Amino acid sequence: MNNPQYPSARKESLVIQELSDEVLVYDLDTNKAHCLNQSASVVWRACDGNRSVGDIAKLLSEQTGKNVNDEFVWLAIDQLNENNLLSVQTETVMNTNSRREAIKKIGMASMIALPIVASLAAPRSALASVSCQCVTFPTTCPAGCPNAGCTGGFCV
Amino acid sequence: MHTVTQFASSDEKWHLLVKRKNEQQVAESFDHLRKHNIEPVLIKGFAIAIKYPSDHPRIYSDIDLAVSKSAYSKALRLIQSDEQLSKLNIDLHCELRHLDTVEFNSVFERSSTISLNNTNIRVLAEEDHLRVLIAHWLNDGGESRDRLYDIRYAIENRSDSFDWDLCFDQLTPHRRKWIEYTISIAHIYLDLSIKDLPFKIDPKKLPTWLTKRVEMEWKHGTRLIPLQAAIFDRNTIAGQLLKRIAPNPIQSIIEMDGDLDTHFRFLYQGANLVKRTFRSISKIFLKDE
Repeated sequence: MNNPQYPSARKESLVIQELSDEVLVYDLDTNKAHCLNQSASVVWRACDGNRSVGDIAKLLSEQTGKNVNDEFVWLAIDQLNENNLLSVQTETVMNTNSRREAIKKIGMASMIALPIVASLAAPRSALASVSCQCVTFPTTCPAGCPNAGCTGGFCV
Repeated sequence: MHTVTQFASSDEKWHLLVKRKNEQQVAESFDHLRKHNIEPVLIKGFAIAIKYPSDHPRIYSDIDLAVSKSAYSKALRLIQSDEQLSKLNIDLHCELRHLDTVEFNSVFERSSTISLNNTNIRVLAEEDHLRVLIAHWLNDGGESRDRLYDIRYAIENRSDSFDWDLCFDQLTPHRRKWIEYTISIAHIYLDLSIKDLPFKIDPKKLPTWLTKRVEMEWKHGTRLIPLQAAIFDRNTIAGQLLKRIAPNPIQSIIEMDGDLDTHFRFLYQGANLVKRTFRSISKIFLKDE
């Protein structure tokens, strides 16, 4: 079911590398790399299109033994949404202020880390050493360019 | 699950993820081409990355595949039009081009496969790959210090059965010098050990102009890119034209299959300038491959 209120983790055009307590995700469509901390990765894995946000919060509470509320899950969903890691864009219930308030509230009360979806930028050494030279050119940079900011490059 | 933990740096995580991505794409490129009965051979990239130590990962963004002359046109059409293949950053080579004089059939027969993501990837024999890596490095005018590590690690981490006679197989004396001089350069600048090599390498025999040029290229830092990639950017095209006005003598000599000991580098540079100009014009205006 592709109902935005039952979020579903995107699977297409992604390369996933699991670490001991994080998940690294490379988006082949945008050439962007992300690092999901443990909390974010647990939420992401729980997004199977059949669970509501409430169901996911309940699942996390059961798995962690801690009290996880819907706001915690929405924090993760928001970031997954922003980073295009859900198969259908989910309408957020949080605006900037309510997110800030939620972070404060959850951060102080929570015994588990706040969910974070961080971008991984290519190291300088990587940009210098590849043959990809992105210059302004009216074509799309093919997959593989480590310059995630490339918007119209030509890989040579 | 990989043993890298949350305490790994962002750079380490990026390298790990991109390595995973690249390996997946290499395997996919082989799978897709084989569906169309094309058997490629992987050169550079992953094929040399496996020789690098874990604390010095080799970065690559494209997949260099060599196919036979008879398969080249079909492979090129597929790479440009096939939905799956066109998403992969494949750099297709018609055999090994002018950069190797050993018959491609012989090189192909000596190739072997290694397993990657449940796919068998065809790679050159170590000896042939070293020769190709050196020719490619010189053909790029020695401009990349980073890529010189390909040669260092290919030699340092070669297998016990590495056969230098095979590496020098059928080479003309001046092409043999390409190999010996590049090994000398890797010895001088990257501390490649040469004491266990079965032939004598004398770094003092390196032409002075060659080391000076390599140092100049590394200091300058601008890499040569095709003119059609630079044509729409004023700053980039200016830099690329300046770089071409006095063509890189190393590249010129290699492109013209010349002798690095020549005293007439200017002749090679002149011939190469004409050749490259015609090639660039045809690529820009005629959209030739």
